[in-house]
Amino acid sequence: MKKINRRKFLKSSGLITLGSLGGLQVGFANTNPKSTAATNSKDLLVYVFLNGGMDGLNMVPPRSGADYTEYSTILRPDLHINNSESLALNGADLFGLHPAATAMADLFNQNKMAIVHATGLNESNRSHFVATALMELGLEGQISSLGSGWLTRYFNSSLNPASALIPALVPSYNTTDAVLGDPDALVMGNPNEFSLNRGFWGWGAEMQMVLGELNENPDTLEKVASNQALLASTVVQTIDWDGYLPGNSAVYPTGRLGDQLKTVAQLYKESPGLEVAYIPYGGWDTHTNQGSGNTGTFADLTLGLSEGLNALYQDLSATHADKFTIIVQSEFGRRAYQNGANSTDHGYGNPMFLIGDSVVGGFHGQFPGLLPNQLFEGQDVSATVDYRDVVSEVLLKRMHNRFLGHIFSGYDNYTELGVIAGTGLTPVFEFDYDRIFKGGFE
Amino acid sequence: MNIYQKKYYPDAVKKAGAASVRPAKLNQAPSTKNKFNRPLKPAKQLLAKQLNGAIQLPNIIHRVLSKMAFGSNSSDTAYIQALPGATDQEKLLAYIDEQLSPNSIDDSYTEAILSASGYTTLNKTRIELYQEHLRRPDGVEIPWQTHILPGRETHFATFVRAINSKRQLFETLTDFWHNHFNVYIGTNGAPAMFGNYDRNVIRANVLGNFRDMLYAVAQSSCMLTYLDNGVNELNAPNENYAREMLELHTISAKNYMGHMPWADVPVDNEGRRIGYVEADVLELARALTGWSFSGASWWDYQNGNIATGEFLYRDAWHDKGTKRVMGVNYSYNAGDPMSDVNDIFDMLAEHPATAEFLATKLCKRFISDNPSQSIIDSVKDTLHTNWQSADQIKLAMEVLLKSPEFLNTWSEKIKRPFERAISAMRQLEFSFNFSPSESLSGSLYWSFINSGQSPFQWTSPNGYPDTKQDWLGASSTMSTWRFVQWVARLRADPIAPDPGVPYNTVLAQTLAQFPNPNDITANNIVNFWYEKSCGVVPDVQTQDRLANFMSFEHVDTQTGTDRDTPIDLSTNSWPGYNEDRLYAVVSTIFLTTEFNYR
Repeated sequence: MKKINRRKFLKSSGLITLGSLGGLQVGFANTNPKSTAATNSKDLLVYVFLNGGMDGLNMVPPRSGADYTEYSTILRPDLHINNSESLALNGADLFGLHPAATAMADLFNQNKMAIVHATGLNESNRSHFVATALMELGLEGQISSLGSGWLTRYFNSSLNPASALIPALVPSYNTTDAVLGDPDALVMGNPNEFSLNRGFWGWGAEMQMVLGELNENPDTLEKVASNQALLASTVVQTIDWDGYLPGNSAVYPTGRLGDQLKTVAQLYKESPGLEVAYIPYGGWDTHTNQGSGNTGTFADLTLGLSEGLNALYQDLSATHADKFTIIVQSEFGRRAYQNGANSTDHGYGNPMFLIGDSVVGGFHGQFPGLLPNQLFEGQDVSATVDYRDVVSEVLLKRMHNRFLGHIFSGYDNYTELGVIAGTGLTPVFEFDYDRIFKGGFE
Repeated sequence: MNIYQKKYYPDAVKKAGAASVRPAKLNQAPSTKNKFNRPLKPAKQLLAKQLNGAIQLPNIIHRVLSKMAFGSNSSDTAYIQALPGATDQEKLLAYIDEQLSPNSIDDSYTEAILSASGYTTLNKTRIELYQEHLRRPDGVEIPWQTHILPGRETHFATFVRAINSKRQLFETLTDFWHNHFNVYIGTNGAPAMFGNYDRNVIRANVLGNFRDMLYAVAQSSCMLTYLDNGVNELNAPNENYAREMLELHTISAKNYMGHMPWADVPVDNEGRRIGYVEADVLELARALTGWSFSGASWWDYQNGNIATGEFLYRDAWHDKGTKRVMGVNYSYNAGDPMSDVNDIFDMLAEHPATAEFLATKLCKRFISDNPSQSIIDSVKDTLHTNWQSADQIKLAMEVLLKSPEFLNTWSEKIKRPFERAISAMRQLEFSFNFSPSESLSGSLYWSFINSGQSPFQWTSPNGYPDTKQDWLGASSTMSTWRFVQWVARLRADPIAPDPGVPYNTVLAQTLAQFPNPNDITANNIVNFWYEKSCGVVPDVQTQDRLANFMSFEHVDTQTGTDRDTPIDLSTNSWPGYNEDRLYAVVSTIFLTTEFNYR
């Protein structure tokens, strides 16, 4: 009932057609993009989304006990990661890591990484599109026409809204629903291709000038977006992308994810107000050719992920120790049983990973078990942790935002897991809590 | 195979064509003006209510061509104006009737381009594509370039047809159905077979019957590979295709009821279950076991067997038990073993949820991101009533295209990158013909990928997204702008000092408009091109900035001069580069938000 009222409120406020533009910061306050002074008491939140449904039982396989027996002999006789192959983690013998994830194991063993067991939507949904959309839009149950992503509402409810050059970056060619309705979020596939330099040598740059003038006082949604692209282009061109030297001599893996993470790190250093980076990393839908051990699709993806996360940690911790938190998540896990192609179909509960200096390393949450009566509908790893509890703890303790009910519509029962050190703000679950709207709404 | 790679990430733009560089002999001091040193504006609060800037309503011909075609151009506009009718609207209704019967439209111009441009695979049969581009009967390995050729030719032909075809509605609907039944062209084996998918599965049914299209899709090697049904066997059903068929092709996610017991799904007053549940996905997956093609199994080409790529029903792989889908039992019939699936297809194609889903998507594509329920209902009812008619989709499109909602709405959609690029190329009368034998085709192909909407490159089965919000991202916008900026200055074989012949007719169109040289002024050029491209006259500030640009006489100083002084477009040399300046100003118009409305 409550939710229906909330939607009515949104409709009457005009949010649906304009996509939550109220209180939006347009234009850039910081005219000194090269400043390296820390201006933000918040972390940089790096959100890596593993599109396609990452197989958590392959990434974090059981190593001993009843779960291992069930896993290796009943559920996945031809697919499991043998406990002689999986990576042992310090202080833990029930679960290990995929053999291609040595760089992640290093972070875990240094107490810089937490693994939260069996997270998921509070209601299982085996559709990629629906499960992903629910997470990106920050909704529960079913997709409604809220018209804004969870990160859009995160920024809208931020108490000291970003006055940054670029508060949010999606280093991708395609946008994501997580920033739906927020033209301030910079979606940028490649910083080296981010200006109008493909025209006639004598007139091309003038085209960018004129186009900037045509959009500089935007009064339509489309002009806001054009203006934002042109202003971001101006900023991006002041940065020497090819000459970047990562901190701690970190080496990013070759390939798309490595490039994306490197862009995030560099922009964070050059443009200190960067607050959120959202990185979609697809390819995990392993219905066929999942592979095992160190070969196959899954191993290739895992190697890139593991090395990329470790490089980002090393790079940023040189200059920004304890100033960033990385969250890694997928829309769902996969079926506990192998399928006919020695691969896996869509499932439910799945581990999440958190990386950072304030992360309480080790395992968190409760693994529900793999025996037939422990599996969700006898088929999937069940979910015991609402994924929003994990994200919320980061928001409350590292991002100074307590308006959880505004960010995750319908969410009203935060449970602290203790996956981040320290104490957090007290959550507010009202969707339209007054404080939020003082900034820009009548 | 990774069919669900939500975002496409090319490693880099390969062979993207040379940049335009300042000739060394002009090595004077470069412009002192720093192009990117515009002062950054201080942050300001922008309230929702401030974003209600007026958007001018263009004339009806521009509106309709922007929505049902890939944008307006001179020849189609002139053609419509010459049709019988007392008003533009009457002429347009006659045009819509013609477009609904594409076979009656002479498109020999486009066909002539294709037949003269070196295409060799567009008309190959399914077996020819398989055995010449995917797996040869003699086992000799097929070179990669040969393997991908049919897909690449389909891609190039898509550009040629979108730009040139007189059957514009047929082309925009082809795009629609390709996205509805999306197959990522990077799927294993799909590049070789894609010509068959485009010609015999999609184009063959674009204005026909949905049930026929659903069946043709389910028989295609492209979809069977993409969604793993080629190897869907009795002992281990693979549910990928079944799930997407229910969610994305027919009943839709809106009517997915999760893990509810099937018997709890409400029944409508004609006895249908109104939605589907998880159990239905598994049951449909069982039903689809054995729907495969020759070549899907390793055994098809071992021990002297020769694979053909043709559809193959494998009885030994098929689950012969009764399948209960959405509350109805479908039993196996040994005398007609594919009848269980065919009966399910009938049920799905007849279901009102399918009609509503298709109607909603069509209205969102052609009318608005938020179409009214009444027009959705009209289209839905037409689809549902005529679900067995051979021209079911044509009947529904007629209802849609002749509705006031379609004829009158404006700016409730924007052009996505492909539509924006094509509509610019239509205005340019882009005359380079994509062809498998011209290397520039490859440069255009790679250059367009970063726009985010290269045809057939969406990796997941839901097809390219279709609302404004999905396409306002800076990366997609900037990449599309760069593509338009580049194609508008492209020339054939530029060999200095000869700049080469441009691949556009902007100069000729301008000269034809202004036969008196004294009329070729900065003001007139800008007004003509803006109104022709955007369907409205430019507002004062826009006109001022563009005419100022057009009045520059020196590439280095870049300061405006008088805008009513005639410009000699027959010269294109230092310091004014008049012809290239004309292309730059015209292509700037293609980058405005006004050009991008539909």
